[in-house]
Amino acid sequence: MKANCWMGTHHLEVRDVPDPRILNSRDAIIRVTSTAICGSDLHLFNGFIPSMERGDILGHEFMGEVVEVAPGVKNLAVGDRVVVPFPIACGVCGACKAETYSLCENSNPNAPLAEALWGHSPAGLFGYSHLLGGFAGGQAEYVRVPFADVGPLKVPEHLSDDQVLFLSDIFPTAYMGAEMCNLKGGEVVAVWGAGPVGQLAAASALLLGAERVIVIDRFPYRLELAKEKLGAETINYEMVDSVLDTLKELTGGRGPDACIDCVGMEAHAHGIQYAYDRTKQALKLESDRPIALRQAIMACRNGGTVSVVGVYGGFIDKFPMGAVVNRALTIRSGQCHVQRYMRPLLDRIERGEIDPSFVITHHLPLADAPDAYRMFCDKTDGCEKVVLHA
Amino acid sequence: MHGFVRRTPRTRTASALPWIGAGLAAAAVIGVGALAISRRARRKNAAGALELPNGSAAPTGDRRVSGSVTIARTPWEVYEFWRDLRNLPRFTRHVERVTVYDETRSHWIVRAPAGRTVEWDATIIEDRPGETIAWHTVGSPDVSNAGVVRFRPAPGDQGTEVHVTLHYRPLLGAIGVAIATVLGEQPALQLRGDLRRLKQVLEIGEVMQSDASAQGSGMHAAQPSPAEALA
Repeated sequence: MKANCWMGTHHLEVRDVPDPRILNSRDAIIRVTSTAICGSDLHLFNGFIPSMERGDILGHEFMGEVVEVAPGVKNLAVGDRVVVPFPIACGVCGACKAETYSLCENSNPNAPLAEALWGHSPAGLFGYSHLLGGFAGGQAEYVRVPFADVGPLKVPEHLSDDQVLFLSDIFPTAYMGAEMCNLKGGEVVAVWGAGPVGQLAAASALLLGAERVIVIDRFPYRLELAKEKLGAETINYEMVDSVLDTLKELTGGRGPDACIDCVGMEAHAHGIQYAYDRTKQALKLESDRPIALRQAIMACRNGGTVSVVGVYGGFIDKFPMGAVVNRALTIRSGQCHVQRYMRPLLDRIERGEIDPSFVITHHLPLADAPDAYRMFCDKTDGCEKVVLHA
Repeated sequence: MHGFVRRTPRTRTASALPWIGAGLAAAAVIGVGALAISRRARRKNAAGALELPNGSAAPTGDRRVSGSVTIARTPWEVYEFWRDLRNLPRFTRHVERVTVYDETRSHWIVRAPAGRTVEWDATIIEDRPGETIAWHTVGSPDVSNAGVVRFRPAPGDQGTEVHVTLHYRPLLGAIGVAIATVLGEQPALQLRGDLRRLKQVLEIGEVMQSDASAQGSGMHAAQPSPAEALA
């Protein structure tokens, strides 16, 4: 089959690889019909996530048709159309019982490696390094899905791939980001990053009762999308002297009630702070550039919540802990427990409350994946979200 | 240990490289893992020698490795699984086979580098159902070792805490040198991997495989392998 393989930093190739086969008793094999490139895939593309191997198949946002099931899978049949959540979760361990699926205790065969970096191991993920299991991803014609009786969600025929594909990651991720803000209604929520997760986080905050959302980015076309589709207020951080002052101005001096970091480890900024973090990252003295996170913490109103769904891989510098403690901020984070959100969010899509496909700007063949990554990374051609088709 | 390793010829390291990341089994650790007798190891041992449950001292000059895991099963269930020593190859990477002679005595075959195996007889010296199993080797095996596994109820109804401590006497000679060179300080990591697999076998019924891990030890790309390459 054809698959999009990581061959090194900034080097992807669509290659011929063996077809996947059943390896465990609750596996299924899926023929992929649609698969998206995630912002977090760019961290792999740009070489910021350790433990990648030449030949690793990328992709953790995908859906398709079941073509084979192992004997332990009773709820799926060949021909079913399913969306697959990106965390691999067994459904029976303590973490899964608590519905914290991205912390599954049994799905990462390389757990001891992850423990060495992070203290304890989270779940295995599709197409996301060997620290997180060494699972082949879904940017391919076919993919093996472990624990297929727990993760994949059957989707109704009257909804298109574009409408349901993002149940695999970015819609639940964004929704959990907003949910962690513990909104009661009437809040002002600021969202760092107007990429697909940022757009859907702003949309989710509105679904959950926020009165206003403010989206911060530097690309006018992305800010325009948030303004047009969501009625968001926007801040182009390259056009203002100070994001913090602008946010104060927009909130009567209070600061946003909740802040959502949808940027993560490769944040950009102008000025000395960016130079500091970029240099330390290049010298491997700091693995992540936490510029958006620092800003979110400093901006958040007293007693507010900072919700972090942008991906961080390792260690950060100059973390404003004084602001967190003295202003009683709550910081919440996590890789999304996608399995917990898929059904209720499918219901919201079916009821017409939201159509997450508004973020899609490009449909391309799988063969074009390397160019599509470059375009998505460089933000050229108005790229917001790419869906690939095998 | 480090001084010892550095003195070892590099060719040894190269020939034994496939062992890196191989997930040395608990029993393999006690059997053939890391084996240099260093002053540091001796001091460590003198300070914290394992008190075996029957009151006898662990072999002197040995090394110690310990690990633990929590499993969503009752202490009795975990104990019963471990007590049937024939189950050890299901979750340890290097125990090839355990033959049970009788209630206490068993024979172990453990994979070693270069296609070799190491064998020994062991006897269970303490057996408290649902609580503790302790064993040591008997006779004069190439590899003398001892271990104890304890099963305790985890708080909050979370199942069972499994605590393993292994003592192994360093193996001298060519095999010992090769393994010590490669393993360095890895045995604890290997034991954690084995305990993770024990948890998988008891909670999900099998060892979890990824596309990469299914291809055996060492690093492999995360992509499906041809049928003949499967471990």
